Amino acid sequence: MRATAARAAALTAVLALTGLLPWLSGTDPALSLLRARSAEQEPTPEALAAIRTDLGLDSGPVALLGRWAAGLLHGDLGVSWVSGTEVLPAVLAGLQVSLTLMGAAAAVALLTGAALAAPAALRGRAGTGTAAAVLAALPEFLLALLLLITVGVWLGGLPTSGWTGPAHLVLPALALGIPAGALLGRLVAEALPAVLEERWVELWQGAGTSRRYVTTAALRRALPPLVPQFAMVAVGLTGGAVAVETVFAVPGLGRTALGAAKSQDLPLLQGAILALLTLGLLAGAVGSAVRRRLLGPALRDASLTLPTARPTPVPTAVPVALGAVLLTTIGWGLLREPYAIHTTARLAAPSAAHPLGTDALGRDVLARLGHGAVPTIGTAAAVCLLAGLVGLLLGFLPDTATGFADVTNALPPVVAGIMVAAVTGPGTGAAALAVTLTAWPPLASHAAALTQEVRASAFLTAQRAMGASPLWILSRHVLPAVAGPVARHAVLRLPGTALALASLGFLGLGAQPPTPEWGLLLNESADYAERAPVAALAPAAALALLAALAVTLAAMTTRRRTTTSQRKSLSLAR
Amino acid sequence: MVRGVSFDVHTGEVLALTGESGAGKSLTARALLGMLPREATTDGTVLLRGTAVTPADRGRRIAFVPQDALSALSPVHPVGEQIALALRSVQGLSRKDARSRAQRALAEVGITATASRAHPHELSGGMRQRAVIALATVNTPDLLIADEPTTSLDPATQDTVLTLLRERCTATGASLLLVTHALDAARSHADHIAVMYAGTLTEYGPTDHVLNRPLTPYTTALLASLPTADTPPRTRLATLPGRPPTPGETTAGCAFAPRCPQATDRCHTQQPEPRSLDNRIITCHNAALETP
Amino acid sequence: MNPPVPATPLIVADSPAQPTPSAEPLAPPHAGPAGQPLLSVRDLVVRYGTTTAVDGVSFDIHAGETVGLVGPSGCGKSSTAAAVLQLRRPHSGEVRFDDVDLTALDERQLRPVRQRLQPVFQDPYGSLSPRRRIRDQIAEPLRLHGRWSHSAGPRRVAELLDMTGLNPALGSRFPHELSGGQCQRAGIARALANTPRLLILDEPISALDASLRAGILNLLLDLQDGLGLSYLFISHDITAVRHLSNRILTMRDGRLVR
Repeated sequence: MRATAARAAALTAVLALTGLLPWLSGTDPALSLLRARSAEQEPTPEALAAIRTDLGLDSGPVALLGRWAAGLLHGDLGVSWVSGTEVLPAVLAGLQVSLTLMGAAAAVALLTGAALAAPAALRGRAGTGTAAAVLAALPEFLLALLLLITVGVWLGGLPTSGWTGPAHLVLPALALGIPAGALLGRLVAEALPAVLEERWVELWQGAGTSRRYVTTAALRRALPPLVPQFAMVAVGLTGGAVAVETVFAVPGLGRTALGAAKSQDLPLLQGAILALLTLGLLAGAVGSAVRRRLLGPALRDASLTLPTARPTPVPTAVPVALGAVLLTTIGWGLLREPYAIHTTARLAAPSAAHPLGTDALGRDVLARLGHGAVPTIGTAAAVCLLAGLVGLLLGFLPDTATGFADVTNALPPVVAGIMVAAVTGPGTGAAALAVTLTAWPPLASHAAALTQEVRASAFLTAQRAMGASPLWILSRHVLPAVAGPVARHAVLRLPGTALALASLGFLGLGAQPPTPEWGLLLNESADYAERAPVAALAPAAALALLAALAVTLAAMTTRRRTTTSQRKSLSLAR
Repeated sequence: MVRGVSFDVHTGEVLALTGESGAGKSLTARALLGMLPREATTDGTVLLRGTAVTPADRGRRIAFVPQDALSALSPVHPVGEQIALALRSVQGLSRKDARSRAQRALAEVGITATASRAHPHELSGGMRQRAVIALATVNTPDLLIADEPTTSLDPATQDTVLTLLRERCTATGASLLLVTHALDAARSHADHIAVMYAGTLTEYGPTDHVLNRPLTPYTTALLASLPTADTPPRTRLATLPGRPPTPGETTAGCAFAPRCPQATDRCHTQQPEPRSLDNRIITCHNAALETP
Repeated sequence: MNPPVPATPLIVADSPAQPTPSAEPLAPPHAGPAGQPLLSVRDLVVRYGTTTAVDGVSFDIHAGETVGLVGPSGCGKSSTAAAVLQLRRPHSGEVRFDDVDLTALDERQLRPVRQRLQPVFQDPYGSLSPRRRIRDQIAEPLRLHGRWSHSAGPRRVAELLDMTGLNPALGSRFPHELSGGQCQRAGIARALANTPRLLILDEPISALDASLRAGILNLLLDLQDGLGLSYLFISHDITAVRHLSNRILTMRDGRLVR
């Protein structure tokens, strides 16, 4: 019940925030609107005041929210500030495009997932190999850009921009579908070996049941608890769509939202975000319905949780080597000058003077990469610390945490980034806030799982019987048992967090030029990929290394499965 | 981990395989079934009615009830369907025939047709155990191996389950290999008993002989440490010094020598080989029949 | 081939000195002043939601006495133990320990009483914290009740280790570095730290291997002789209960039966 209340509260908060965007927005919307409407008009106080009255900005936040909510109930999303047209048709048009893209991506994801899960189902072997794992950790914008460069620019044959025919669907669907599919495949491939070690499998085999029946039954057993996670993957698609639509210039909902955020067209942004959020929540609801359908009435009460998977061992040498390569590159780059412009050596090929070449302004790419680590990885470290603290705190209030987690789970970092950027303007701080908002739920559920585990243990009962006070138990036994693993978990999420920050940077929602933030760096270099491939691909390689590091580090921790299984039971609680 | 273990199971009898945790009971049972973990290797032969056992015999000639039978059914399939799938796999029955045969098998252990369509979590603990027994015996194996089928149950319930298991074996003509750490269960249900310690078969023979007149020091000491109805109450019990070796821990001589009150120099340096003595098989340098 | 098997009894313990036990009822070895029991439970009722786990149980335990409690799983044995220890507050009834009704005390008032009333649990590893050294865990009750000092504290811990048959060197180990029997001894040492008068033994040997059980049973007998402890011994191993107890109570469906 408390979880339901928390969920309703969190949803209301997000809706209110969306409704209040025009008022919250730090930059004066009246000014940007004036510019957009007529470039010649002087921004006199009178002109600005007239626009404010026109928009209703002067009547205060409550009236503003009330008007927006009333309009929403009538299906009226307002009028675009920039184009002056109705918002609803524009949002619906974008929605149609995005849904087509997501549908195609879902098909790609299912095929990829099935291909990756097949070995586990057929041979009962654990894991899908590191390559698949890296694929799953690869952010959509990176894959989209790599596809754009390799297939679109070098190989040719497929359109890389626009939305005029089925051929335009191929690359965006691949970029959006492959990481999601890799994630799906990995979820199944990791769950199956543990299911195949359950006692009933031995009983069935011992009674002579054929391999085919056992495999089918194991899939049937493993899928229902995974469905909520599949729904999360679907939610992730809405965030991925923003990046992919931007890269391939697809006129979908994500690109609409991003464009609206950048041009301060707040009514359009409100409409687009509302649609994206609804899509995410709908995916969650469909997930719940599918799970119910899979379970049937008989199994609804059978508390089905997956057995804990044995972690696939990864030699420590792999993350250490990856980390060493990254650190060496960064260290070398830090010693060089990132802002010096060499107009004579634009887009230079790698040489002794510029080991990774130069960019379009003739700046040293290695230096920019090294100095870019500070805004990318440094910010990620701060975000991890903050998310770890929030997670630890909320881990002690699992009911409240579940409700908020459900809403933030429907909110991909990119969408959160758009919202925050609309309020505060784009910047490193905005990106960090957006990623923190979406990064804490796994840490909180990990903390909740550990707390629950410690509280249920016999030695805690012994403590009570000994006469220990709740404070003594909390400070000497529960906190030490929870804080360490959660802190480790937070550290392990650092590369993944850096990737999320980089995607915001890539979309222009994070650090601003001339900061050499990696995502921004990649965005700038994408334009000259043909002429200076090494310089263009260097940030991509750094980000891919980061993805590989994220995966191998995650595989090293044995505690990781506790997290996902707890996350599952948190979302099963509905 | 398990070494030099030999024993026979006679047609229609119950053999108890006992020992403390880590003695290698379960591993031995799994080796018979060919259901060892991937990293394990085996050597030796398993003959059933004179012919070697292959994995394809699983369910046909040799069947298995895993540890803790309460949780041994698939949670997402109705119990009747689980039995029907085993029937279709082994006997190639049609869907319809398998379903009616499964219902009959469940009826034989007292589970109604309605209950056969229920999922395990909807059934009582006792019904689940009976369903497991029905599943294990439905393809009329020659040998049924039950690995600690009743560990988590209280003694009275254990006895009921084991009695039913024995009945079903008698009805289908199967021999039963009962892996258990509970000597009481072995005493009341087994014809022969095999006592294992640290991966070796210490003593094998008729149950009443081994439990009433043990020949090896380990069995003797183990039995002496357990209070019985005849032990004077509130007296100190005989104890075995030390602790059982962890699985895989090896010694030059007999694995029990460090704890054995009768150990000689030879026991510490030379591994004993299994040998026949009287109507038993023992693995001990010192054991001998006492002269009457 | 087979020589007839003589009907020899099982080879029995190493203490033939003990006289043959007299017939029921056994007198407690350290019978306190008759009349005043150490623990007096009256009409105890424990409920979980709507189900009643313990339904009107009454019994006494005198000083120096061992009372066995047996019954099938789910009959309410462990719920009785939890209610006596006030770890699960009973729905109604009285738990009078040392002439104080524990059900009338709040958590804070209970703390000093808890020193004299200690549990020993079934799972030897689970009842110790996996993150702390054995000696710190044995010392914890001393610190908790302000009985720790730099000179006397370590001495007391060493004494407790010795009392429970543990090598002092084991004090610096972590639970996972010990055998199940050793962990169970450490759990007993911790329970003894503040010189309790009554131990609630909830299946203390069920999780142990057969060859280690006798050692724990002997230790419990020795401690009772040396310290004059009383035990409530809960187990489904009827022979072990019979061996240790002066009186045996049988529970079924939440009630005591004859």
